[in-house]
Amino acid sequence: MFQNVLSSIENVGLLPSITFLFFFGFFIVMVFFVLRMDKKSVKKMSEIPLDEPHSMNP
Amino acid sequence: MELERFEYDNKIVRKFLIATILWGTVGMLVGLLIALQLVFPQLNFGIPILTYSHLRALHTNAVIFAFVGNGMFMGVYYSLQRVLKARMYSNFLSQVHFWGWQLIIVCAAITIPLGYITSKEYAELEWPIDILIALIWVVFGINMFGTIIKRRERHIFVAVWFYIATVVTVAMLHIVNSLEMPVSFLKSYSVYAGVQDALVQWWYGHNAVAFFLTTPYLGLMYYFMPKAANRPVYSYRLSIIHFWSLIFLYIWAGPHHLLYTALPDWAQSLGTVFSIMLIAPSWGGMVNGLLTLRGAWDKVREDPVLKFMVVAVTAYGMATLEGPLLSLKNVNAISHFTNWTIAHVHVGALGWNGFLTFGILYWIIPKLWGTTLYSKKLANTHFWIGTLGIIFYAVPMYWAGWMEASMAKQFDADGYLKYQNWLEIVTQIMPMYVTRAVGGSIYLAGVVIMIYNLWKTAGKGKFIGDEAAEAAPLTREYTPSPGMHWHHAIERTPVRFALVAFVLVAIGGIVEMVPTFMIKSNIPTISSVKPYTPLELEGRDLYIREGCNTCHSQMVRPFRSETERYGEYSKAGEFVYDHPFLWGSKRTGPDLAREGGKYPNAWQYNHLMDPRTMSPGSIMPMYPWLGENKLDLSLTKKKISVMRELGVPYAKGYESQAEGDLKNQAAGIAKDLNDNGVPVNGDEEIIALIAYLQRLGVDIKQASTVSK
Ligand code: HEC
Repeated sequence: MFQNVLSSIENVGLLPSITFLFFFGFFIVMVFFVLRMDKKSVKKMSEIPLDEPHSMNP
Repeated sequence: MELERFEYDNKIVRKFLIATILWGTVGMLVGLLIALQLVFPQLNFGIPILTYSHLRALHTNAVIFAFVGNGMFMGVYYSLQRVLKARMYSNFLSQVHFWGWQLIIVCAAITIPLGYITSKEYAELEWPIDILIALIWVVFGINMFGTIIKRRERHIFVAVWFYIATVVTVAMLHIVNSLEMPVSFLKSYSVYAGVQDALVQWWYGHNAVAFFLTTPYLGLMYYFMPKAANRPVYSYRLSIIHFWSLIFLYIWAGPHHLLYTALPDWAQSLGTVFSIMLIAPSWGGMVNGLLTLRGAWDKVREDPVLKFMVVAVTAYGMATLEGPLLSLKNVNAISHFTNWTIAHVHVGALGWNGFLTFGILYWIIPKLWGTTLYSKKLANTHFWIGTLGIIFYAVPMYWAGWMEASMAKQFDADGYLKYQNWLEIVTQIMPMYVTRAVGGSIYLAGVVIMIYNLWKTAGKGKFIGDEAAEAAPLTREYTPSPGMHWHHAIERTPVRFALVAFVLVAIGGIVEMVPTFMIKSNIPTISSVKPYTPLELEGRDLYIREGCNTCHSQMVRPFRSETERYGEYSKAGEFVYDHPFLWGSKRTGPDLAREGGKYPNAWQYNHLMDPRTMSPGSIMPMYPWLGENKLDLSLTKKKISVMRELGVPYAKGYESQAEGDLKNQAAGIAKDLNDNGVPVNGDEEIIALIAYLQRLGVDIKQASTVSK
């Protein structure tokens, strides 16, 4: 019974589709920007963990 | 630019490191004990705090929050300082965080076995400890954001993004799921009831896996794997996509723990859809980790650290492929409630979290002690033993899960259940329980070898407590590189970054939960479903204290095999007075949702005192103390009024009548027991528990007799 009431919220069945589209849009925009990132700075960022020349210990 | 000198704080890393090893061992030992109890139920020696159902939550909490928790903090405190080129923001906060977290663990280790628990999985701790957790978590957050703010590296490395998402999301999950109304210092009721409680709980439970066991460890992977392999991550762009897609999608997947339950269908579908989509970022992350080692596989053959990491990341990939498959309704119909789930989580816990932790330990200890590993050979032995342990654990449990499901669903030619008696199924999977315990022991043996090796390693070096370093401070004027404006805008100030992450994860929670809550005001209760009597309510609290829900579900799914075995399938309206819900997640024993009236009181009495008298060969623990302890009535009134405040329709002033009603009902059960040759006084705890068991599902049975 509870289910009946709940599913009678208008078009609740659309929810998964709407959220999926929302994510999809978000994803496309993100990929677009990530691909446009500058190659040199990406390389520099990815090397941050390895860049520890200043530690004074061996 | 003038270089600034500063020191990395290694002492705090060492503290968390020791705690990781200590609690990890404890957590695994407790796991081994309860695994053995499923083979030899007598191993609880008739003592409450040593009983399976009291220790299961201790095991899960110890492994998640004590082992992986401390492991996460160890790795975060080490890597955060280094990728940001700054010491931790405050030594004092680091100490508060460390000791506060250990205090929480000790509180948990005391209260959980004693039965001061809420029953919600991985959120069993009672409200005062919940508050402590929230406070300590905030301390961790402040310390982390403080460090980010005073960093000397412009770009915040991707590992730190994962840490930020962890801090923000875990805080949200913990607070929302732990909302409870105190009855006394160590007793409370969830403010949510039934279906809503289940939805909130599994939104939390699933995301505890996501944001406590996964995101921080992915952060660690992105730092420690490049370090160990001495080469940058395969694709930094991919790691950005990995991060944002993962946190966006994960938060939605919780309802896949509730497929075929009384949860509304649209919420179930939402859980399935997002779970399937999760394969993409998860595998993106795995591939990114593994490809970091491209061209370095000769190194992997040499280096135990990399070996552990490769298996860890592979286990991550396996578990995150299996998870979405288990979210498909037809697969879930088989796997849910069985040992399949146990296999699944242990691929994650033993493989992903365990092995990544071990890899980091083998790497970090020589660094902190300024030396080399004592024995590569022993580390390799550990690696092989550990891998063997995982296989011996997981394979039998997959097999057991499959067998349980197929036996429970089998019908004979005449249309009757082929295995009507649950014990027939239990006895069939006993060999698998044995093998699993062997697998766990092997894995633990590997850990012992590791401890010896690490101990020796530390012994031959000298601990570097404050590691000197220098770096240039950040300058004010700054031009971001082309194409990065958008991300710099959110990333340069950590608070803004945290806000964006928070909004993303909050959307998922809100969209899922709000519709369910909006309905709260007009849930059409099934008219025959009435609140529990005071005696039944006390019995229900005993059921929670004893942890019966660790082995018994109360959720009949709409399958013929289940309605045949148990009775009518469960409806949302049946649970409206259940603060908290007790649907359970594992059927080591049969479902109890329709238990009421199935057996006489005397059967229930004898069965609880020693299950094997009624069900020879049963692996249910004995609960003899329930027949000795007197039922504590000191909180009964308060419980009634708290329940009323939460919306359960007890008449005003019913408190004054409650104790009398309770005693009457108890006397009735006692008389029935006495008449059947069971000597009781009527004031024992077991009477309340029997009353509760006899109530289960009775309302709905009446409803159907009336309508017929
Ligand atoms: C280690 C897992 C385990 C725990 C913990 C456990 N049980 Fe059981 N239970 C079983 C198994 C297995 C069976 C089936 C064999 C039997 O009848 O004993 C069972 C059977 C039952 C039955 C009979 C169900 C039926 O319809 O035949 C009841 C009632 C029951 N348990 C109640 C409890 C209660 C109450 C608690 C907590 C105090 C509890 N159980 C704790 C495993 C467990």
